[in-house]
Amino acid sequence: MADETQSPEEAGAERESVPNDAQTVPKTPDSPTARGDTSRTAKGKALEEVGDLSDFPEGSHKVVKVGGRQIGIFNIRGEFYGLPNVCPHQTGPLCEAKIVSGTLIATKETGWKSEWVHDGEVIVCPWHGLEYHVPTGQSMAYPNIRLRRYEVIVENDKVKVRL
Amino acid sequence: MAPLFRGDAFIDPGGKRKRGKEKEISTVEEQIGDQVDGELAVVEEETAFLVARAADPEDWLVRFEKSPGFAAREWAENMVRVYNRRLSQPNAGPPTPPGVQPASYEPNPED
Repeated sequence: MADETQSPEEAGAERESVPNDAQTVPKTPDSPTARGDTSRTAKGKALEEVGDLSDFPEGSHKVVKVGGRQIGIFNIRGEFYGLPNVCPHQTGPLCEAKIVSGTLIATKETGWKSEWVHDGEVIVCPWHGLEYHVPTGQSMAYPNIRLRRYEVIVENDKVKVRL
Repeated sequence: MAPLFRGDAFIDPGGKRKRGKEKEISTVEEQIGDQVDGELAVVEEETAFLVARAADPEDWLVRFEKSPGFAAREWAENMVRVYNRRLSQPNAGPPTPPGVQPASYEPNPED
C-alpha cells in the first residue's frame, strides 16, 4: 500500500498485494548475531566506519558505499540495521526508498481483515514496489527470500558496519 | 567509505551535494551507481541458493530458500542475469521500467 502523502513518483510502483498468510510474519533469521549475518564462512572481517552517529538520526536511513557494495543504514527507534541496496526482484536500489513505513496484512488470526503491522520497519523498493522488513531482511511477499543483514554498531559516536 | 545518497540529494565523498538538476542523468547506472562492484554469481547450498559477489562467493547478498513450490534457483539466476546485464550494458536498465508494476514478480527467463 502506498503512502497517501507521497506523489506517484515518490511512491514508485504500486506495492504488491498480500497473497497469503505465509508471508505475513517475517521469520527470525538463523544468524549468529542479533542483527547481522556473516559471510558463509563466518570469517571475521574488520568493522568499516561509515559516518558519525549524528549522520544517522533516529528514523532516518542512508545509503553508503563500503567494501565494494552499497549498504542501506537504518536507524529505527535507536536500533541500527544494514541491508544491501539491491532488490532481489530486478536489482532495484531498494534502500533509496524515501520512506520506511509499515504494511497491511490479513491472516486467519485477524479474521482476514487488514491489519497494519511493522510500523516504521518496512522498506518498499522504489522500482517495482516489493516490500522488505528491515530488522530481519525478510521479503514480505515471499517468505523464501531474505536479504543479508549487515551488523551495524555504534562505537565512540561512530557508526560502523561489519561486512 | 563514501556516502552516496540521502533523501533527494547525492553526496560525493567530499561532502558536496550534487542535486539531480545539476547533472544530466541518462542511464540507470549513472543514477544509482554500481550497487555492487563487479558481477554477481549464484551459489548453491544444501537448503538455499545464494546470490553473492562473483569475486568472493562467500560474500552473499540475498538468500533464496529451497522449498517446494518456490523457484529458488530461478529467482537467484534471474537476479544475477539482470544485474550483470546492467553492468555490461548500462543502457539496458531493468526488464520492467522503474515505477511500473510488473504483471508478475516471478522470474522470467526471457528477461
